[in-house]
Amino acid sequence: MVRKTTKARQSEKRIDERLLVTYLLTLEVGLVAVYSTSSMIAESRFGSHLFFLRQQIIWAVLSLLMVWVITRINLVRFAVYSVPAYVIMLGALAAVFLAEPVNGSQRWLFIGPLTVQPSEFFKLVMIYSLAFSLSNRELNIANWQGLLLKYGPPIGVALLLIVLEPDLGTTIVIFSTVVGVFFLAGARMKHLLVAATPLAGIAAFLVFVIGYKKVRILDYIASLADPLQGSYQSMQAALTLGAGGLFGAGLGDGSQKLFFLPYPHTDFIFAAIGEEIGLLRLLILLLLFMYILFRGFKIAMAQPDKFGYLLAGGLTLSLFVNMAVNIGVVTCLLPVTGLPLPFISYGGSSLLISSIAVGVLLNLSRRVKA
Amino acid sequence: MKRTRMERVRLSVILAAVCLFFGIVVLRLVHLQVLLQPRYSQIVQRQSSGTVSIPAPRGIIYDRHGKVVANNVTRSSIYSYPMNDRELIRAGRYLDSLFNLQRGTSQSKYGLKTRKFRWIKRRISDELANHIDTTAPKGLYLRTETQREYPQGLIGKQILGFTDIDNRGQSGFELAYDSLLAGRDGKADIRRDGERNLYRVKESALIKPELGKSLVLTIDWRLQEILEDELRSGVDKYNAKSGQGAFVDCHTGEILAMAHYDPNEKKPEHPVKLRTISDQFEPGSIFKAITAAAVLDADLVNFSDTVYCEMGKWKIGRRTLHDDKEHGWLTFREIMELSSNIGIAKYALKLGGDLLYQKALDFGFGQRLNTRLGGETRGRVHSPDRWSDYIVAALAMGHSIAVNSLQMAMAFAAIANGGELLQPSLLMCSVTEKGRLDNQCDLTVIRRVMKESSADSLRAFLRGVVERGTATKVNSSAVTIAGKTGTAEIVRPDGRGYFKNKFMASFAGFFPYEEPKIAGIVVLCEPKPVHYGGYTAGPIFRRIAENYMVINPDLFAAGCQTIITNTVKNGQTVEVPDLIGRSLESACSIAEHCGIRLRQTTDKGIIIWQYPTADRLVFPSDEVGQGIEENTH
Repeated sequence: MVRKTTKARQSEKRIDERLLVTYLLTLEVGLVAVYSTSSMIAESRFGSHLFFLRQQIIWAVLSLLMVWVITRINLVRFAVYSVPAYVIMLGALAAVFLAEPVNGSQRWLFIGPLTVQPSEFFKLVMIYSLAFSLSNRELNIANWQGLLLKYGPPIGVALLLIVLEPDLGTTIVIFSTVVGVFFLAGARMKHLLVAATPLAGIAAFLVFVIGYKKVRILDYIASLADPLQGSYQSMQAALTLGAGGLFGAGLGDGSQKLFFLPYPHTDFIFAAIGEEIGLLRLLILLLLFMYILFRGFKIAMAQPDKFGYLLAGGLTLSLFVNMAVNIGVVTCLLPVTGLPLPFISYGGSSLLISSIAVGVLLNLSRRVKA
Repeated sequence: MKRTRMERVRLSVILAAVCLFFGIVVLRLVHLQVLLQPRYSQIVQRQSSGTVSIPAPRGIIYDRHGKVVANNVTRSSIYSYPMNDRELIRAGRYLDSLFNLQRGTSQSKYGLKTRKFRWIKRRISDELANHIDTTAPKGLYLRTETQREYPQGLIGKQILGFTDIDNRGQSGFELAYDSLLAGRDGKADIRRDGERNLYRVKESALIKPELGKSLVLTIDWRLQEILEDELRSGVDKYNAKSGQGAFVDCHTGEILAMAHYDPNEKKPEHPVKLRTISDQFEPGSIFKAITAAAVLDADLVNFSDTVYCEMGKWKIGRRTLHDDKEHGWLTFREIMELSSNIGIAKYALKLGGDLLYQKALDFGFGQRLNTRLGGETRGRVHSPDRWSDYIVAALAMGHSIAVNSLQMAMAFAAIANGGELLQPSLLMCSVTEKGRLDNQCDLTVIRRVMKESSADSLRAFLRGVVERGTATKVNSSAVTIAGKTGTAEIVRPDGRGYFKNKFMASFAGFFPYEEPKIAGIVVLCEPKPVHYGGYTAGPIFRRIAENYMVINPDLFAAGCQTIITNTVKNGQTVEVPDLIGRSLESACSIAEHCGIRLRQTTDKGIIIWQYPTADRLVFPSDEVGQGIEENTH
């Protein structure tokens, strides 16, 4: 369907069907995973084992619609709106502090029946804006003082707002993505290191001198060697994966999702399905992920201009960072922070954002040399 | 070439980083899911599965006629298991208002803690449980537990004993047979989730609880009730400090009733000892029956011979024996009937201390009866090595020896049954899960303690005591009682002789005289002002015997029209229907319907009484008796 309708107007190239098929497959895996890991909780909390699945299906349909829409628009045309869009997003990031805190943090805006996490959407807008801005031919990327003055304040404010929510995980993801985009844009390695060093210093100071999240970091260090020595969450995640073994307990038969493993259908879904499907089939999921990323980078490489290159590269990078942080946490390679796994975890915002990223990649895949 | 070299290199670097990361993830997954898998899956198994114990219901206790005297009722108990602080605080507040406590006190009072199990109150009433069930917040839960219930109230409680909150026997029969009654708890595999909800998974992995054995006591609860009633009114009437009594079947040794009554006893619902086996006392004149047995066995008695009783005062060595009355020449029979100390002492001296001592041992004194009940004493019989004549005389009249009531009842049972000392038993049989009876306990003869001919003579003497002697108050027109009275001074606890004004009044005997069925003893401690056994303990004994006869006419009224039948229906217990007032014909068909066959000796009439009464269980060996009035129409 998508193929037919996208054939004509603005391009001569066909859409990247491999990416589309991989994306659809991953989406299906996600729905099965959500049902399998959420049915018990849905039953006990909401009285219906289908509660979460139903929600997720609605979001999946919305996401597909979104993908379809995005593949049909001219992305470059919206570039002029990137600065106002960025300012609006900063406003939204500030607005969360007016909302009611949930579990002690203010990350969400409640608009009618919808719960929106502005930081997720900010990520998209930021990558889009950066791609547009950095592709400016007059920009001298080697002039790093100029770059710092131009990009430092707007990005710094956004990161500050997000870190104050507090949402350290998203902050790190966005920061890593920003660094990655600059790296792709051709920033000097020396500059990147100089920019990153004081931040690392501040982080180390915060953790080890002030003691902010010190326990979590110490837990993490302990869990690297023996996952059972880590925090309760990472211990349960490791146990859950371990119990799966090579072949898994069978779909739906995991025992850890019964309130042992926290957030089995969102942040720790990778572990929960790891117990049920086992290592071998988990590797297939990893291959799907890798293939999506690979297609993303391939599209970036094939872009006719720097804007497309940075946009495709940045979005793919952002998907990767999300996957890496989530899987890293679940496999006890990274300290615990709550981030959803793209395409798989239950949650509308995450699915929609990841799908939009895929939609943009599909859109870009049709562009040819100008 | 679409992109610059720099861009391609940088993209490749990122792609390499991606590949490197996924490589590390795969290695980590292999580490977790392959290398650590055996250990981890074991831990997961352990934290998500477990076993719950399925408590075995405690065995039911029946009396000898199948009346339920101890059974189980389920009660709810409330416990707390708050998952988090909010549940903890709510539970605390709820309990404050539930038990009208000051705000905030119940949290510390009950030691509430998150993720910790605490009993709040066990065995609460049904109404409270219902209330809690509908109103309690999360964190407070109910669990049903079984509790021991004694449908007969305090009757026989001293024998039954009691159980603690965990259903373990703490005294009496409940303690003595705890291992049989308790059964063994079963186990079931369960799956547990992180919030402590439990799921039963596999029925196959279930170890069934071994039910506690239901046991049938030899006690006849009707006699027990009579005994306790009479002891209570007797202690009251004769102004005694306390009283006790024991009755046994003199042919089987089965204990039919045992009780003590002390108005000052604390916590009668939690009896810790049974004085009929734990208290020892100097029996006094009732022991003369044993002396008489020894004398008769030694052929020292010529029934027409008389002995001079010294007109009530006889010096032995430096001490003097007294009689209550100034008796002159008495035959042996008269010595027994009038309970002459001097007369029996003279025979005892003729017999010699060794033989008397031996007889006392033969009759079971100085040894435990092995009823398995706790606190049983053996009594005391001194060995005759350095006995003076006075001590022999004292023993002959029941002093310088200590016994307990049950020992004395067994001794009189031996006299009543023709001379065989029987092992007293409390457990008649056990009931299997399907209602069958097994392990029927056989009677055990410990030994022959006297010649049958001696026993015959002694029984006649003892009957004479009631008819003509010291126990004429015991003589009943309804049932023929035989026995011996006793009035003993109480030994001072400091060991310096006896109280001059404190007495132990007793009567030991058996009935009916012609064909003895039941032997027993009644003892009153310090009755005032009348302290003679024949006037205090004796009448109590008589009333017990009479009452027992009223409820057991089939045992006594030989000539009555009765039909008696064995009831066997696959060897199982059967509930008895109410047949009173029915015609014989319909009674027969009803009974047959229940699996009871009535053997008829007459073919017409109305049932006027029945035994066992309705709603009792009938055991295969038991008999159902019916009294039939000839239909005059």
